[in-house]
Amino acid sequence: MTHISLPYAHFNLRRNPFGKMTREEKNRLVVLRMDLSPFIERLKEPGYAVQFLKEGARNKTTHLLVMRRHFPDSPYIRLFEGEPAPAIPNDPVLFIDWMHVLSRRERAEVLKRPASFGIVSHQNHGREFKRAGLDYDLVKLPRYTLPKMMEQVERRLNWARRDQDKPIPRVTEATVAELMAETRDDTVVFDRLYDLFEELTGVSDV
Amino acid sequence: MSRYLVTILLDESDGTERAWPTLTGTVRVEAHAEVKCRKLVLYCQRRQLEQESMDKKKALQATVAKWETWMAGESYSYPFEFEADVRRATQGEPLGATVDWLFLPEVHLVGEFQPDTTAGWIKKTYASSNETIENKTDPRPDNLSSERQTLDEKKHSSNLEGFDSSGAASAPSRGSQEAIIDREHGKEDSAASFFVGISFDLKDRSYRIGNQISGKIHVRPDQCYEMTKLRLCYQWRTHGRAELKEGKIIEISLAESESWLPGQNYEYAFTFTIEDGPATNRGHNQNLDWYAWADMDLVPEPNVVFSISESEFIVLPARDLLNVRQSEEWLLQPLIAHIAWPIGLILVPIILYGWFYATVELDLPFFLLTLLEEEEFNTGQQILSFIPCAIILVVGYATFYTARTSHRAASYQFAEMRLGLVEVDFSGMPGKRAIRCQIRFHPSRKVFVKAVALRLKVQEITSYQEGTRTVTKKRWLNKTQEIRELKKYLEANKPFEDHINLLVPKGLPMSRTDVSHSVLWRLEVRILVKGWFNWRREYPVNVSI
Repeated sequence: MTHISLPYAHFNLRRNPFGKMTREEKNRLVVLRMDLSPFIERLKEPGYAVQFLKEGARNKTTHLLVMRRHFPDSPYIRLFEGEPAPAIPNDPVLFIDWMHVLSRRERAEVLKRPASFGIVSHQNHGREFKRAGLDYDLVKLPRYTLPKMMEQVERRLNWARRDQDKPIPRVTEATVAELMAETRDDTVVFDRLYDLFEELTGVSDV
Repeated sequence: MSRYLVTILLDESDGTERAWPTLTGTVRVEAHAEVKCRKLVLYCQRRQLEQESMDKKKALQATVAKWETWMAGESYSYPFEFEADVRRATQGEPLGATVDWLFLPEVHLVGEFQPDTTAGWIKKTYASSNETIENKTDPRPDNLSSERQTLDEKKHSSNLEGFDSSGAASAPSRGSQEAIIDREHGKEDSAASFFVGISFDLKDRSYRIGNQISGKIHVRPDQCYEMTKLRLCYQWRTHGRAELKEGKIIEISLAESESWLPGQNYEYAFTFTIEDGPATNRGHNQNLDWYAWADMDLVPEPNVVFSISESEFIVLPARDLLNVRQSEEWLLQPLIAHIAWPIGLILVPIILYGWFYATVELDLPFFLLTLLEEEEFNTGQQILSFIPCAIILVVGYATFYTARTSHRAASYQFAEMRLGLVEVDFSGMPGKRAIRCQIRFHPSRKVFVKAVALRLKVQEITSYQEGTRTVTKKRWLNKTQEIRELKKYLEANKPFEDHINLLVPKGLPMSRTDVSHSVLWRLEVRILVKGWFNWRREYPVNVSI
C-alpha cells in the first residue's frame, strides 16, 4: 500500500482520458457530431421543435445543452423516470431532457404553448409535434467521422494531461480507425481506448 | 408559475453617497414550491454603453447562498456586498460620472446541470464622486501579515503544483489546460500571470490516515487584489470508468483581508489531518484520489478559476495490517457439496432417460407439431400439452447445473473422506502485507499430500451509465497463487497442521460492495493429494486495512 504513486503520473496524465467525465467536462470537451446552427436559428421563432432521438450514448443531452448555450435565459428541464416532473415554466424556448417521462396528456399540454422546443427523448414524438401544429425536425445523431473522433481523442488527452511540457501517450489515427471499423458504437471505441490506457506502462503510441 | 422568484434589493444610501461604492443589498427569494438550491450566485457588472446583457466573464461575482432548501410559501433574504472595481475606475471613468450597474442572479439547483439565469437582471444607476477613490488607488497596506513572505522562485520545491494563468507554471496542473482553453477565448492577454500552487512537505505526498498533512499555498498575483478570504479545500473523488463519486469538501481558513501586489510571491502554510476517510485506491475501473486546492475571494474577480488549481496527495491507511474476515457465504458451500452430488447422480440419468424416451419412443417434437395442427384440440389443451415439455426443459437445465456442481462437490467430498474435516483460517500478518492461511485436518486414512496451494482472486465489478444505457464490466484484477510443496505421506488419525503465506500484490483495492462498484476478494485453498480427487474450496473474504 505504501507504494501508491500519483495517478497515471508515469505517463504524464492525471487520469485515464477515456474515463467518465462530469456533465460540465462533457459539455466543455464535446466535439459536435453535426452542425446545430440550423436548429438554433429555427428555435428562435416559436412553433418549432427539434428532437434528438434513439441511439444511446450519442451525446444527445450534450448536444441539447450546447444548443441551450445560445439561449442562456431559457430553462433546461431534466426529467427523471419514477420522479415527479417539475413544473415546466412558461418560456419562449424550452429544453426538455427525457420528454418521454411525461404522460401523453402532459406532453400535449406543454407542446400547446406558444414556444419552441429542444427535446431529448427515447420515443419519437413526431406525431405529437404534428398534432400540436409545430414544425419539427427529428434528429438522429450520426457516428463520429474519423477526423472528429481524432479531435475528440485529442481533447480528452489534453484534458487529462499533467505537465504541459512533458510528452503524453499518443493515440494514432490507425488505431482509432481500426477500432471504429470493429464496432458501430463510438462508446465502444472509447471503452477500448480506456482499457488500452490502463495497460500502458509508459509514454508510447497507442 | 415558476418555482421561485428572485428579487434584488439594493441599499440605496450606500450607493448614492459613495463613489465606486460598496454595493450592498439583499437577494430575496420567494419560493412557490420546495426547491433545493446548490448555490445562488450574484453577478454584478458596470454597464457599458447600450449594454443590455451581462458579460459574466468580466463581471464581479459573489456566492450569496449555498446548499439551501427553499420551502414553498417562504421568503429568504441573503445579503451581499460588492466592492467596485477600483482599477478600472481610476483608469477609465471620469470622476463624478453616472454609472449603471447590472445585476444577474444565477440559481444552481440540485440535480440540474445548468444554472437557472431566468430570474432576470436589473440595472441600477449611481452617481460617483472622487471621495473614496484616493483611498483605494494605493492598495498597498502598511500592516502586511507576518505570515506573508516573499518567495524566491528558486525555492519552489519539486512537489509544487500550480496553476499559472499564462500556462507558464513549471508543473502545470489541470488548471493549465483551462488556461489554454481560456487563451483560445482570448481571455489571457496580459503579460503577467496569476500563479497559485500547492506544495506538500513530503515529496511523495503520501500521508497516513491520522497523521499530519502539511504544506504551503503559493500565490503570485498578476495585478493588485484585495484578498478577503483564502481557504485550503480538500476532498476525495473517484475517477475512472465507474460512476463518479466524491466526498465532502472540507475547508480550512488560512488568511483574511489582505492586499496582494502584482509579481510578489506569497506563501501560506497549512496543516490538517484526515482522521477518517477512504484511503487512496487504485483499480482498473475506479480509482480514488484526494485533492487539495486553494479557494479565495478576491476583488476584483480574476479571470481564472482557482478551484481547478488542485493537487493530488496520497492518503494511506493508518497501518498496513490486513484485516481478513471470512464472509458468511462460505458456510453454505459444504452443505451444497453434500447435497449436490447425490442429487446430481440421481437426476442426471433420469433426465437423460426422459429425453431419450420423449424424442425416440414418443417422437415428442413430431407429437407436438401434430397437436398444433389438430383442429379438435382446443387452445387450453394445446397449452397443457406444452407443460411437460417446459418442465423437462427446466429440469434439464437444473440437471446440467447440478451435474457441474456435483462434479466439484464430489471432488471435495471424496477428498474429505480421506483427509477428514479440513479447517481453514485466514489472518493478516503483522508488519507485512500478506495473508496467512492456517490449514488443519485429521486424515482418516493414510494419504499422500503433494502440495497445499492458496490462490488469491480479486474481481472488480463495475456498473456505469453510458448515456442512458447501463453497462456492467467484470474484470479479474489479480490471480496470484502460492504453492507449498509437501510431498509426504500423512499417517491415519494423526492431526496435520500447516500454514501457507501469500503476499498480496501492491496497489490492489480493498474489498467493497457498492451498487455501482464492487471489489470481491476470494481465497481458493487446494490440497493436492495422490489420486483422483483433490480437496478444493473457495472462501469469499472481506479484506480491509
